[in-house]
Order: sequence, then structure tokens, then C-alpha cells
Amino acid sequence: MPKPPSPDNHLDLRVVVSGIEQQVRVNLREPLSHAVREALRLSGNAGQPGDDWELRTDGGLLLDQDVRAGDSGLTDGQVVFLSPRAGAGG
Amino acid sequence: MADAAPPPTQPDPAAGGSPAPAAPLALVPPEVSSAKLERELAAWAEQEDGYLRRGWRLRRVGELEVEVLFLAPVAVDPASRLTVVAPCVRLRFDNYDIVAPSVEFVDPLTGEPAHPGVNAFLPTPDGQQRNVLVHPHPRTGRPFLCLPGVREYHDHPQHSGDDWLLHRGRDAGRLAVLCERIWRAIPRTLIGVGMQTRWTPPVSELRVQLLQGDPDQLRAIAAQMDAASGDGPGLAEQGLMLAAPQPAPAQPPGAQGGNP
Repeated sequence: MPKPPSPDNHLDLRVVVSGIEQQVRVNLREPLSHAVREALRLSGNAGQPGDDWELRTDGGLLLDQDVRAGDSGLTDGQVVFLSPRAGAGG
Repeated sequence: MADAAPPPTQPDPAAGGSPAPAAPLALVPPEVSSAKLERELAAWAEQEDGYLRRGWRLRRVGELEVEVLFLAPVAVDPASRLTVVAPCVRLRFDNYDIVAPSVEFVDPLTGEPAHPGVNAFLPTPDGQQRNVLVHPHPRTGRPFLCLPGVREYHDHPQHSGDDWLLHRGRDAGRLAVLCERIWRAIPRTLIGVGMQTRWTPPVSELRVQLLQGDPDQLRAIAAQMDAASGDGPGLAEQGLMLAAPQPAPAQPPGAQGGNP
């Protein structure tokens, strides 16, 4: 069950990167793009542009990576999903 | 040295069947592909609770192939919903991952190749909805997902310039990634059921179809309606399911019929 933000002004997220979970901590003042960058680094995708990836809630809602972690509505321990952008198709 | 592939079978006009896919060259030892698939399945098991909440179900795990059911709740009236299977897919991991996984739509009851009966909508960079379920594929004669990371996409002559190896390093062919894309394009876009009736004596026809739309757009509309009504927790918090009887809403922007 997700907890309210911890008093240390950080947000602890469980970021599932292409199906594999990474534990990521981000300061509440930092944008979610920092969490994306850290999750990519931990998953062996360091250096890949964050814009090439999409961060979504478990309900599939796309998260704006420019939004600060503290304003994102996410809570400690929440699971979010990071997947490569689908690209052109059809 | 890999054995040469047998020649592709020719379609039998009398049987009316589409040509069976040619057996691929053995480029990767099966045990290597199998080990990679096992890793994907182990990662799936770690996240299974979340996937179950999304409606993802492993129907069958075979040798270098996995079948996944996607369940979705669909509102059939303002007070109730029905859970449907849309779609059921078979992913093949032969020659993985020198070759992208194959994604084939199958009947959830028989496992036979079948059209899913719905479309697959993903947003384009300019915000439009594009149907990425294309039928038929020139090689298989079957419907396929026209997305990078899917073998049938990279096999298509029109995508010869977009090789699988350009996407391999970005996880495009991972089991979870493919399921995420299928889920976003199909079951997550199911928003309701539509019916059409026609009666031209002596013929009468009733057609039932699944309606598809942009759930995020609808949720935003619901939030605007909540804000306008000022009645407290309302449509947005209930998602797309309404707990109390409501008048039939006008068809929202982005809603499309599910006729393939």
C-alpha cells in the first residue's frame, strides 16, 4: 500500500523498466525526469534520452516528466511503468 | 551451420486457407532463446500482481512461445460492466533476440489464429489516434500489429528501412513492453458497447460491437464535468463506470466503433 511522502522530502518509487523493477529515490523538488534517468541507469539503459521513454501509472496514465515529483500525485512505494516509446506504426 | 529452411508452403485454394508462415532459419540456438524467455517470464512473475490488476493473464507457456489474454471491463449500462477478452495473443520467441518476437492474434478458446474483432489505437506525436492493427500481412495473410518490436512489422516490405536491430537495444521486443503496447492500444481503449439495428423486411439485423476511445481524454472530460457540476466525487473518480443511472451521454470525442 503506497505511503504518504516520507519526511526526508524524497519520493521512493518502484519503477518497472521494460518489466524489471528498479527502486528509485527522487527529491520532491526534482522533476520526474530525474527518476526516469536514474531508472534507466539502474536498468542498464544509461545514456538513453528520457524523451524516448514513457512513464505511466499502473492504470496506464501518462506522467509528465517535467512535473516535480512532489506535484506528481505519486506516493512512496507506488509502482510506475517505464517503457520505450512505441514510435511510428501502422 | 544452420539448416536451410524448408520452402514455404503454397496455399490450397480448395481449402481457402491463407499461406502458412515459412519456417524461419535457425539463427539462434533454441536453448539461448529459451533462456532469454525464461528471464522474461521470471520478471513477469515478479510483477504478476500488477499485471493481474491490469487484466493481463498468461494463458499458456510453451516452448519458445507465450499466450497472453487481455481482460478489460466494458460498461454495458450505467450501473454494470462486463469483462471481455480482447485480445488474446501468441508471442513466439524463436531466434530471440536476433529476430523480433512474433505477435499473432488467436482465439482465446481454441488457440487458432483469429482477428481480435477490435482495432488497436495508439496516439501519434501530433495527438491523433492511429490504428496499428493492419490486415492482412503480405506474408502471413493474417492481422498483425504494425509496431516496431513486432516481427511482422519488421518483415513487412514497407518497413525494410526500419530494421529490428535498430530497436533491439531499446527493449522493444521484451515481453512486458509488447504487452504494455498491446494493452494500451486495445483493452485500455475499450469504453463501452454499441448496438446497431436494422430492419428491412424480411431481413432484420442486430449488430453488437465494442466501442473504443481515448480513456485519458474521456477521463479529462469527466473531470471537467465534475468541476462544472460541483457535486463532489463524481465521474472522474469513478473512472468510466457510473454508479448511478445516467442519461445516455453523447458520443465523446475520440470514440470510435470497433469494426475491424
